[in-house]
This record gives sequence, structure tokens and C-alpha cells, in this order.
Amino acid sequence: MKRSGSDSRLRAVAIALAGLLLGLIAWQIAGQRDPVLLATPVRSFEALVAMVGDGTLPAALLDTGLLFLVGLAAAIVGGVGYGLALSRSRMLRGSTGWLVFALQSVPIVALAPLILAAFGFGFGAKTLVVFLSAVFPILINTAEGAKHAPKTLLEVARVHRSGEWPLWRDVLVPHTLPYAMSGIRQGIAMAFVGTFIAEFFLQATGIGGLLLSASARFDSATVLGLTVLVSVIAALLMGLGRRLEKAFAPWREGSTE
Amino acid sequence: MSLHDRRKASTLTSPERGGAAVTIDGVTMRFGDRVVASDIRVEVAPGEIVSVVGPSGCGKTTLLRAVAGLLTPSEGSVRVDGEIVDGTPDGVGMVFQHFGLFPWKTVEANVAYPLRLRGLQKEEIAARTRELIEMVGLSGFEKSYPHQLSGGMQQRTGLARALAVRPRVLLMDEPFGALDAQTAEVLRFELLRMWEERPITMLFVTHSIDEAVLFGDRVVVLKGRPGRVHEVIDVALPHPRDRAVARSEAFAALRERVWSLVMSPDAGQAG
Repeated sequence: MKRSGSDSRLRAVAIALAGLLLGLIAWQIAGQRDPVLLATPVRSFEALVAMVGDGTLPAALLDTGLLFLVGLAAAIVGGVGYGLALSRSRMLRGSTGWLVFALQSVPIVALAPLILAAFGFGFGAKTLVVFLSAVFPILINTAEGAKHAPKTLLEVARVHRSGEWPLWRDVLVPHTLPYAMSGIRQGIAMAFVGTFIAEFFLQATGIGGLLLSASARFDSATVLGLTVLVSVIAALLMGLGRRLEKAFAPWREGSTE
Repeated sequence: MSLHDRRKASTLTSPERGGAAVTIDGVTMRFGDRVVASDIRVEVAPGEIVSVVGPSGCGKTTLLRAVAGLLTPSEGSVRVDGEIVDGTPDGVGMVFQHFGLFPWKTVEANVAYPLRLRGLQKEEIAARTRELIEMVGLSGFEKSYPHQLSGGMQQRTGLARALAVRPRVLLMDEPFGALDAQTAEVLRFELLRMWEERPITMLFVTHSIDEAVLFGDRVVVLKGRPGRVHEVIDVALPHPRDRAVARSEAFAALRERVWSLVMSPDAGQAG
């Protein structure tokens, strides 16, 4: 059984690699036919290497990474915190619950120029765009999870005369954590998109800025090289998100729920 | 009087009965317009086991929740050792039908939960947890999560947790109702053995008539909608209540009596 399992995994990797190779070959052929609009993979790779050489790529990566991380961290803290608070306070739920669901459906792309203009195009304003992109899936997943805390376990806590803080520690937070984690997984993807939105407007910075200026110069080698790089990073982040989601609920393993 | 003598006789064979007195004094439970239980009066003496049986919907579980302080009576009051119950009193343990274990805590952490809430020292928590786990026969499963255990083992964990606070009163909410018949049988006699070693007050809600007679010093039969006390039966069976008692003719006779009371046409409405 185990052997066939690793065999099938090997086959999956081989298929994925074959697909990738096929894609690269197609890209190379297409690039050779029209070298202006579509740079070849080789040239795209060279463009990336050149940007590493002159230091622009590492600096841009650092910029983008910082913006992404700070925005995401703020969204996690805000989303999980407020989501838990919503579940415990009827007043908060009544007064702001509807607002959360309304804001959730507002496309941040449309608001980004306004936000950036209002808050001065600096790091703070850009962080706000990332935060707003990522916070709603985290907030809503957390609130939904916390709302469905099992009634029996809340009774168990009451029978044991649990105070409010131990109730959070023993019941609400551990119950909600897996829900929050799937919210965070979605939030990572949204924060990623939000980071580029924030980088694209007016004072373009980071990877988004490099992409934008290369695109304006019709430098297709740089554009394609960066696009591939960004996709790889996104894929890695999603993998990390999924890993995190599993790691935070070891007690769920093998449960049929 | 005869009840008093019997109590004395049983203390000869087992250690002093501990626990609190529980008084259910004219309790009526109402949810909106729906009256679930009406004017229930039951006195439970320290160390006594009172079983509560009745058809489903007679309000027995609701009544137990009122004693636990999870629900507030619409009328009347519940007192534990004279004090009116408003929120669960200290020293009340409860065993839940569906175990009520924290799925994210190991057996050890579930049993230690009440001790941690009480802010005991780490070493003391560890020692008492070990003792409790050994008592319910779960040594070796300390680090297991509930979903890795059978139903019987989960309820052993629930029992250990309820006993962790050295309760004055143990509230049992159909504790073996979710288990298969064989496991339930084994756990019944183990719980009885534990009780004989350290008798405490127990209020035992069940839909199993066998269980009610086996455990109870008295059996309260609730009937009707809303549920009222239909009859209270003295169970003059000897202690310890072991398998031999369960096989006796006296047991069978009592069992039949409770059975016919539960099954007889509703008289509760009239009274």
C-alpha cells in the first residue's frame, strides 16, 4: 500500500514536471517567433538574473515582502480578534455585524486609489490596502467558527465555574482556531493580491513597481520573468497556508467531522 | 423511619456517606409558554442516590440542568446544603450523556481541567490527575485525544473529570445512554464500586429502568406534560449493589413496579 502510494506521488510529480517542460518549450517557440512582444524563457531568466545583479530585485522583494507581511499580520490580529469579540458580544454583533458583511463585498481594487490618496501614498496607506484586502475572509471565518462553539462544551465550562478568560482559553479559541486558519489561508491569497494593488497606484514600489515600469517600457523579458517569480511565490505561500491550517488542529486528525 | 433504619444499616457495610443535601423545592420550568416541569419537590439526603425516570419529554433533563445551575427555575428553588443554586455551586460534578470532552485536549488535560480552573499547583494537578486516570482504568491513555478512544473510554474520562473536584453532589445526565449495552453494563458496576468506596450524593437521570433501580436508594417517577412527580419508590436493596443484587428477585420485582408506573396511562395530568 505504502509503496503504491509513493509510486503514485512520483507519477504525479513526473506529470507536473512534464507539463511544465511542455509549457516552457511552447513558450520558447512562441517567443522565438515574436521576440518583441513575448520574450523567451531564457531571456526572461536572464532579465531576472540581471536584476538580482544590480540589486533592484532583492530590494523590491524586501519592499513587497514587508508590505505583505505587515498588512497580513494586521489583518490576522484584527480579523481573529474582532471575529472572536463578535461572537461573544451581542451588542457588537448588532451594531457592526451587518457592516462587516456589507464591507466584505466591496471590491478593494476600486477603493485603493481613494484610500491611498486619503492616507498619503506612504507605507501606512499601502498597508491599509493590504489589510482591507485580507481582513474580511479572516474575520468572517473566525466569527462563523466562534458562533458555532458546541453548546455542551459551553455548559461544561459553566458547570466548572469557568471565568470569561479561561472560557476563551479552553473553549472558544481552540474551537475557533481551525476556522480562523482557513480564513487566514484565504487571507494570504487576498493579501497577496492586495499588495500588488497597493504597489500599482501612483508611487509604484516593490515588485509591483518593477512590473509596472517594465511593462511601460515594453520590456517583456522582465515582465514575464517577474510574473513567473510571483506565481512561484504565490504557490509556495498557498502551500504554507495549507500546511499551517493542518498544523493548528492536530486533534482533528482522523476525526470524521 | 424505616428509611432511616435502612440508611443506618447500609452505613455499617460502607464508609460514612458524604456529600451534600439537595432540595428541589416546588420547581417549575417554563420556556416561553411551554411548561416543561411543574412543581417538582424532591429531597435528596447527603450520600443518597436518587434516580429520576420518566418518558422522554417529562422534563427530567431540564430538572437536572436546574440543579446544575445551568437553568434558572421559573418558580421555586433548588438548594444545595441549604444554599440557593444560582450558577453551579462549588463541588458539583456533572457527567454528560455525550461526554462533553474537549476534543482538543488529551485525556490528561480533560481530567485536569477542573483542577486547573481552581488554580491548583502544577504538581498537585499532575498527582491527582494520575490518580483519577488510574481509578477509572485509563492508565496508558493519558496522551490520547478523545476521538482516538471508544465511547466507553471517553465516558471514563468524563467520569474522572467529574470526580476531580471531589464533588459533594454528582449529577448524572443519562451517562451511559450513548454507549453500547455491554460497555454501559461494565461502567455501571464500576461506578457503583467507586461509589461504595466513597459514597456521595447523586442525582441520576436515566431512561433505563434497570439503571434507575440499580443505582437508586429511591426512584422518582416523573410523568405527564408538564412533568410532575408521579410516584417515589423506596429501593430497599442491599449494598454493595453488585451483579448478584441485579439478579435477585427483589430487584426484578422493583423493576416491574417502576416499569408499570412509567408505562401506565398518564395520571400526571390530573394531579
